Amino acid sequence: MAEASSSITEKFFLTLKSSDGDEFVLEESIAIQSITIKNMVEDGCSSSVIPLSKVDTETLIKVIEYMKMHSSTSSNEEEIENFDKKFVSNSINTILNILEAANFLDINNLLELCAEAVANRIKNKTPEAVRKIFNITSDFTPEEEAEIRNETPWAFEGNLDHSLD
Amino acid sequence: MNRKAKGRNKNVAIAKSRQWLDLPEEIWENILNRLGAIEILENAQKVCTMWRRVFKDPFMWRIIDISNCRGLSDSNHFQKICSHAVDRSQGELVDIRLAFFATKESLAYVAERSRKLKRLRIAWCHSKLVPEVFVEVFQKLPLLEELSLTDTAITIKGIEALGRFCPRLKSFELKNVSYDIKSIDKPNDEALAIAKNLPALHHLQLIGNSMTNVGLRAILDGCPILVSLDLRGCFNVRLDKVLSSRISQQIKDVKYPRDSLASHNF
Repeated sequence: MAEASSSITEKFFLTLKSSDGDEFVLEESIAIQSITIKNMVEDGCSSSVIPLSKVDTETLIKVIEYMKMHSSTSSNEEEIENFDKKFVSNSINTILNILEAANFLDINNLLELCAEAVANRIKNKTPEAVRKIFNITSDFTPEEEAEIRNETPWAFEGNLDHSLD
Repeated sequence: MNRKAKGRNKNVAIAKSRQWLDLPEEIWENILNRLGAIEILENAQKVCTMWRRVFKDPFMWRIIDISNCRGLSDSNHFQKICSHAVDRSQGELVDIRLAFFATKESLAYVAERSRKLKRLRIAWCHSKLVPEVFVEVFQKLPLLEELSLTDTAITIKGIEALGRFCPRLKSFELKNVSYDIKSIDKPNDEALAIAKNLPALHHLQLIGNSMTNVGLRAILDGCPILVSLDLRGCFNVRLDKVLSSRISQQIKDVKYPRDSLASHNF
């Protein structure tokens, strides 16, 4: 009986350390939305600082902000929806950093949210605009370019968005 | 303060020179899988060799969406996109959504090459698609579980074929949003055919159907395991107390003829 009530009221905290060396203290119940962290806790690694060598401070702050919002019992569906909408309006580089972190931390909802946001920035864009957005250099040989044209000779590029946002 | 400012500058520099293609390929697959067939074939596959390789994988074509058709006049173009996308799936296609352009030929092309298809959604193809094609199409789709037709006609023979050749069908949507239900001769034919041929349905959406209480009663008798029934826009149905209480007892999730269609996404 006493044990049961203590497990309800007692809060456990974890310390997460970014790749820049900054430490963040977070309630365990919030942090374990990350399956990677959850597994570490279950393996008994939670007493010391958890180093997240692949996540920089700026990105970790965003990820924590997201996990807090999505675990809070006080936030309703509409609040979460508005939060998500605002969250994905971050710059594409920030979103990609968060996406990479969400993949490493294994936070499925966050991964889905960011992947959708990135896909939306690709839609209706010319290949040139997409390359600029993602800092991609075209690496096709002239033969490969000809091959694409032969495969889909009907694929035109009309009415497309050349903007970079 | 100083240290933080430095750190931030460093991050900005990294972000600028960052090669996003170095992200794990599984992340790119997750992102690129969300693009429609038109976007992929016209643009995304031309970005770089890694993306093109991802799009060559038949598993990227398990779901094909060709509903976002710009410039509706050129339906021939979208038929080519459709055939090419189906070719790339190499028989792995499970879910296809077509709008505006589908003809008898394009639908037959899909059916002929997609024995694994579970979900077929067609919208706004009333003028192009001869309804008789469905009899032939359903024979090729033994695993079909969900069928959705919006402003796309099906014949009574088509509904019979659906019952005969698609034993796994659980969900059927037949949505009429443009035609006047008052002008239809035999208003209960579709409902009676559904009741007779599709007894295993879990979900049935009959938006804007011409059926009267006769058709509705037949469905309640003929489809005993329905979990949801959407009757929005079925204005020939006149719900009395007996019929209303029967519906609410038998079916968990009901939408009534006069419920709002505002939230509905075609």
